[in-house]
Amino acid sequence: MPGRTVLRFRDLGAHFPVYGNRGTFKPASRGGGGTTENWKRFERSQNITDGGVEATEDELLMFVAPHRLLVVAAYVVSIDGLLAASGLADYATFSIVNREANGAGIGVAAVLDTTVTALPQYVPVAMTVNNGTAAVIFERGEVATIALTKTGVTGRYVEQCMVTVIVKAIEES
Amino acid sequence: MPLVHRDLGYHFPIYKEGSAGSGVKETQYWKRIRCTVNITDGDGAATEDILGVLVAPHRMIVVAAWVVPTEVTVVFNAANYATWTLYNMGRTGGVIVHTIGAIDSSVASLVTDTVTAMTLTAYGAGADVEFESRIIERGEFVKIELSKHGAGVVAGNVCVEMITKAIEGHI
Repeated sequence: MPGRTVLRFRDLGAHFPVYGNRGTFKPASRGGGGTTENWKRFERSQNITDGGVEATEDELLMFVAPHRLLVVAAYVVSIDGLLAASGLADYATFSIVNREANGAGIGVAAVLDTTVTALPQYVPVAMTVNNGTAAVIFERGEVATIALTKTGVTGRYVEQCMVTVIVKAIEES
Repeated sequence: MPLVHRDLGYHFPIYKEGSAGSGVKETQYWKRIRCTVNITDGDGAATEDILGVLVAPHRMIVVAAWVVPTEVTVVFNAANYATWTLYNMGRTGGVIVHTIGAIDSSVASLVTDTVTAMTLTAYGAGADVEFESRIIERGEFVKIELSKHGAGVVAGNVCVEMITKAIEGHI
């Protein structure tokens, strides 16, 4: 068929060249002059809802870390409609919480609130990742949750939202 | 002590498909991602719903998807039935970029606790890339939509799973 492009789906094998950062790291196991980083990354998504009730809060499991992980990005997607920014008085906050292995919690890895940020329907809106804090690193066996909390007298209803977190595997020094 | 974030690449052989018979032995290390969501109509025959499935962390292709009713058997009916559809909503949302795949109960019943494969779309409208409708670019958003036709049908809780694998650009 003229003009048709045929995909060649290659085994990404040892390479996973999904993310490349030129010249920043050269895997010793491969030798040579490699400039591609082959991070293992995966994502977890969770749907959370307040049932359309302003004051309703919730917290759901995102993942239990299979090994040491670093949070690199997180998104919130509104499913049921456009959520306009709600101001400082009554708003909703989405937090990815690092709850350690025992559920105690050591902090917030990523956060987004509706005070100034609108959430258009079906559009991923980036959460703020708290880089430089201990919370963005999940040790093996530690639990990550998504918490929906409300602030103010009435809070802010959000209906259904999907939260996605993208992490990559890291090693210790 | 500072962290050293090293490339772990080769050390995650998530899927091995080895030894395909005499002579040639081959091991593949596809990176795959599995997404699962539970969607329900709350036992309301006419109730519909939409849920998010994922935001793609990189370029992926959908290789399989299926549904599993976990409460009741969804009895087939040509006029009154339920449809589960996976849509790629793109990065900007609001508009369906591709229909990834679908399954409905118009012809065959969906049996409780039994896996039924969704039919994946072969091509997108006007596509010039093979399997385009099944490709999810980095940052694109996928949703699952439960819709009803006619008077609908009770579906209860249904688990929807989608398997994807990382791919490279076309050549």
